[in-house]
Amino acid sequence: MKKITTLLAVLFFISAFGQEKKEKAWKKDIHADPLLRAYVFYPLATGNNTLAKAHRENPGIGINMSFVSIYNFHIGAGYHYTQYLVTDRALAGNFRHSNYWGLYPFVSYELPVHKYASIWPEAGLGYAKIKQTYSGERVSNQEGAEFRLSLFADYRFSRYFSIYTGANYIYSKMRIAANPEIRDFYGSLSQLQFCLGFQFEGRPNHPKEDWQDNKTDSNIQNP
Amino acid sequence: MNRYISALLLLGLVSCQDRYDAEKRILLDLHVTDQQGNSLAGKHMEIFADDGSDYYIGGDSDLITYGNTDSNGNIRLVFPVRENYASVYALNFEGDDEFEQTSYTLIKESDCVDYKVPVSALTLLRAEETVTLSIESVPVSNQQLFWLTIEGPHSGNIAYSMPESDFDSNSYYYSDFQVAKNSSILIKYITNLNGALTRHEQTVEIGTEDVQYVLNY
Repeated sequence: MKKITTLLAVLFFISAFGQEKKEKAWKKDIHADPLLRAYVFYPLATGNNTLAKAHRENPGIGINMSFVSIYNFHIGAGYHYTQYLVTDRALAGNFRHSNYWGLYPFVSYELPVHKYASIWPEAGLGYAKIKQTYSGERVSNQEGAEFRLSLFADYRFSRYFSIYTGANYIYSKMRIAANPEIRDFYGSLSQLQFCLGFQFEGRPNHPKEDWQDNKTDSNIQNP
Repeated sequence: MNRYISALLLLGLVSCQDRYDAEKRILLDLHVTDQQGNSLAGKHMEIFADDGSDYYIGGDSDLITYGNTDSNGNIRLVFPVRENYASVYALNFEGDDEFEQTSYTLIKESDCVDYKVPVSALTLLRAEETVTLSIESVPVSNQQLFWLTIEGPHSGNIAYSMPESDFDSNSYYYSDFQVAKNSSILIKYITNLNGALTRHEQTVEIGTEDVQYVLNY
């Protein structure tokens, strides 16, 4: 977790401070576009699977960052983590927690709807892992892939800072060898995540500035 | 110095850990009844992972899943496969005020059919419903008795599986079993003749009195 956060932060600052020179060489519609989001979420496991039937949800945390924008499509990567509490040990095994995390690249698109607000649809595909633990005495691991669809909205307080909220739908296909009666129960998981977080931007030409009248510089007034 | 102590502590913690592969899960669907066939609700069933060195559930066993039977006497238990020891499991009912302790030990991953334990029913016995079956093993040839167990309604520990051919030949086996009155019990045993193992089965009819059975091999 710490390494991933550090890596994302380093990439963010490199792209933020390096963009002035790079942008001159880049095409107009392809440019460095650093944008960092940190959020908390509450998951809701859905469907007939181990997360929904044998666990209780706990709040989770996430971070994602886009580095570059191509025709208003933003390309980035993200990480999210949550700890589910095991409630049915007959089905989930004698563990206290099932820790779910995902690491994924994504593509999002910004739709400005107001001078200070945008809507962002997003799609991603990445790696998922569930680590079950019982106080360090007993552990198990399961890996897989996750497919994500997201929709969220931001509200901009300043040139660099926004709050945002939204939801992610995550479908996870986990590796499993089991009897056909229970294969999908442990292999096909789905969850909704309801998010609230902050967004930090380092973009020189913010698309929402088009909404401002008679503004020629890159500053934007607070609402 | 503290760094080294921490590293040693961490190493000790990791070495004591039971690790499981959650990408392989074994299913057990069980119906629990008494000897009269009545479904038993609320009976606490456990699965232990073991290293297979003992015939019984011992201190080296790890409780990997548990639950209670529902109102129809059914229970579904699912458990991941243990990674860092031999994959041998035991189904256990530890006993309560009414019924005796009962278990099947030595259930191997290789016994499972499509990751499902081929045990679907368990009969629990009250103390007054059992008699003792004592098996006296009498050699009548050059063979050695390698292993012995029974199949049928019982209390106490019995082995579900016969051992593999490379199983420790010094392993002991029980000769006294608590079995249900008025039942048929299958005695399963393996003989060893110069390293060649042969499997045998014999049926014993149990009445209402203790049985002393002579097994010639």
